[in-house]
Amino acid sequence: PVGMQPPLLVVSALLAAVLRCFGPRGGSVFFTRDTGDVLVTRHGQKILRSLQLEHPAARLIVDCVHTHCQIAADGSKSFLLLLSALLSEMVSCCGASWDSATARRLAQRLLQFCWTGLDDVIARGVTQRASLLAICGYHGDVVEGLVRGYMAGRVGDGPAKVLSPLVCRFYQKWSGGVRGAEPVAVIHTHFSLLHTAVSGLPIGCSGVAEGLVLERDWSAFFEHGPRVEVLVLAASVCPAAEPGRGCVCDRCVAWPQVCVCAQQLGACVLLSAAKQPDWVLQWARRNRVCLAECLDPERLDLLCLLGQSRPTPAGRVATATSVRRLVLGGRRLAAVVPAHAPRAHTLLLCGPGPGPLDQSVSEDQSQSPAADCWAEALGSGCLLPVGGAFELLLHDFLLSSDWTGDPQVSRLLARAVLSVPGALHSHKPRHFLQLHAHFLRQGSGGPSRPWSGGLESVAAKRQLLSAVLQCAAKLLTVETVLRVHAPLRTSRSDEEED
Amino acid sequence: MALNADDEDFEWEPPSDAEMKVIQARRERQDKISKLMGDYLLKGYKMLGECCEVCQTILLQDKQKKNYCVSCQELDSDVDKDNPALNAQAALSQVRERQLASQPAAGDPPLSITGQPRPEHCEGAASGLRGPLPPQAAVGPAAVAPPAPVPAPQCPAAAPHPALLSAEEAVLHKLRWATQELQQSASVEASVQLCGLIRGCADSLRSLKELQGS
Repeated sequence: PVGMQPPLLVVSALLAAVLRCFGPRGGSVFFTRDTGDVLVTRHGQKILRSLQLEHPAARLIVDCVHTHCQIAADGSKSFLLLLSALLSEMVSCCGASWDSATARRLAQRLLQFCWTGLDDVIARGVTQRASLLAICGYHGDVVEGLVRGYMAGRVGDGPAKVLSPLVCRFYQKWSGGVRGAEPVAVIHTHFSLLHTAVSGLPIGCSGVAEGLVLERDWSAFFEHGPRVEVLVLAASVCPAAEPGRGCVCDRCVAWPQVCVCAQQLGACVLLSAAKQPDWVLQWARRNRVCLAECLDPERLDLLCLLGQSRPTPAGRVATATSVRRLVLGGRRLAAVVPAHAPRAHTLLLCGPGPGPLDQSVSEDQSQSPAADCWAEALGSGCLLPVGGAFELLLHDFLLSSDWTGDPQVSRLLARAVLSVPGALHSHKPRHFLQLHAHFLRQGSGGPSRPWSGGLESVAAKRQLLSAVLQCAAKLLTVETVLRVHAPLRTSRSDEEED
Repeated sequence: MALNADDEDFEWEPPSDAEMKVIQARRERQDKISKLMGDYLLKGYKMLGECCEVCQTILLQDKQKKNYCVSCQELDSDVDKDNPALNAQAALSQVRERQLASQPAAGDPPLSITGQPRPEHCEGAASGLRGPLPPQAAVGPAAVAPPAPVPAPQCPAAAPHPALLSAEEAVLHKLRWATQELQQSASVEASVQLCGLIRGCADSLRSLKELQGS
């Protein structure tokens, strides 16, 4: 049996590496490479992936963190905090090494609590009291509260002061004043296409731009009237009369068809995913037609979707209210406002370097599971103030006589969850005690002070706890470590090249 | 403890003060080790899949492919004198504490914390707990206190000669162990401590011989 000492030490070492970046007041880590590349980041997952880890328990833990972050889009440092606290509670309870039968039994009990007891505990101990705490006393928009809570933990207090109102305005533009989960779901589904990262500018230059930003500048740009037809070309243009005859490219659009379409429909904007020949550019300049090339095909698809495009022999045609050229520092970007989607806006995020920019946007492109958490939170109203409310409520309920589940696991978990608010308020321990007293008073129906800070969703916290319990159970069931000298085939091997 | 028992038995007993001190000291040492390891990981050291042979801490490897044990090479050079997990003197003062606490029940040998010997450096604490109760006057402060308790001629329950013999045997055993450890020791600080231990054992043996002679 491997015992608990090595996994506990591994988790503690990984936690010590990322803890300095935890919470709104956390700092950043500055990485340099031998090639001269520099990265400034406080993103837990990025830091973990930059460490060189050969120990199998370390790799297992980093994989579990990665899986959790793909679902929740945040929480890598909280994951390590909870896991470390849980393991050290187990060690001080039972000693550093025990036989494999005991370890397996404990793992089973953890998993059983995770599958059957956790939802019950959260429903009775947290959700019921959450509706009293947050919504009745909350002043302000709920989406704004969620954004504020999320951004403060992710980018830190300073940048959050600039970015939170911006993100809130972005949501408001999309929702058009309609409250609900639907605009949030739409934004999260297409978020990778609805934001543009601009490096080399201060964070204060970030903003919300009308329409869709195409991430490249116009090759030819002219001001046009209030309503323009946009022709979206799928391939490069060929001068031959018919494609395939007299031309060497296998996929191309016939130039005569483009001319005909442009004349008949009055299309004065050409957008293309492919690079067009020089003579097309010259033609566009002569005829005052806007042209943008080498664009992202997915953005063009979204534009066609929002602009309700119709197919023509030359390509797709959509209607736009206006086309603009945005100037941000030294960078110029093309923007198109689709006519049938006046609420479409793009978030422009500026940052001094790639690290802070990655902080502002999640690396994971699959945003929809995170959207599920937020959408569910908005729909059901299970929101709590940030800063430890969830953990304090859970701790009190697990130790109370109202809960009659597995006492050993309950005690372990109750003591472990306090590590998160403890670390958040480590600079001011008295503040933590005051917070505890405040929530206890509120829970028992005492006088309530309205909360105006950030909010977090109970669903996200539940997901975090479940992931931590499963990871701890995995670590407990490791019996022997086998050294293998042949390389293992993993699907993540190309990601590790970062 | 509770988790080793059946699932139906949940008699979790809180640890005693002495146990708490050991747990606390161990936890502090572990915290120091993990903090140092975290710093080294950020500096570019690699966390290996192997453990140090001496202290079972996970090894790190620097860019020059040299293995590094944080616990042996960094922490042991400034040993915490009050850490009973590491220092025989501190362990013995813990033993005295327990004896003070259990003095109303004099004559009963103190119970050991665990039934098994501890795998730490100071086996003195465990063997001290299993030995007979020494009187207050006989246990004087030494440079490095001997691991075995000084025998008590006033102890009413045990006859002097068997007690002296068993004490002498215990001290000799510890002396032999310390000698073996000294031969294998690679660290300067550990060697200094072991020499202190051997000196303490020699002092104890001298005192035992004087007692036997008197």
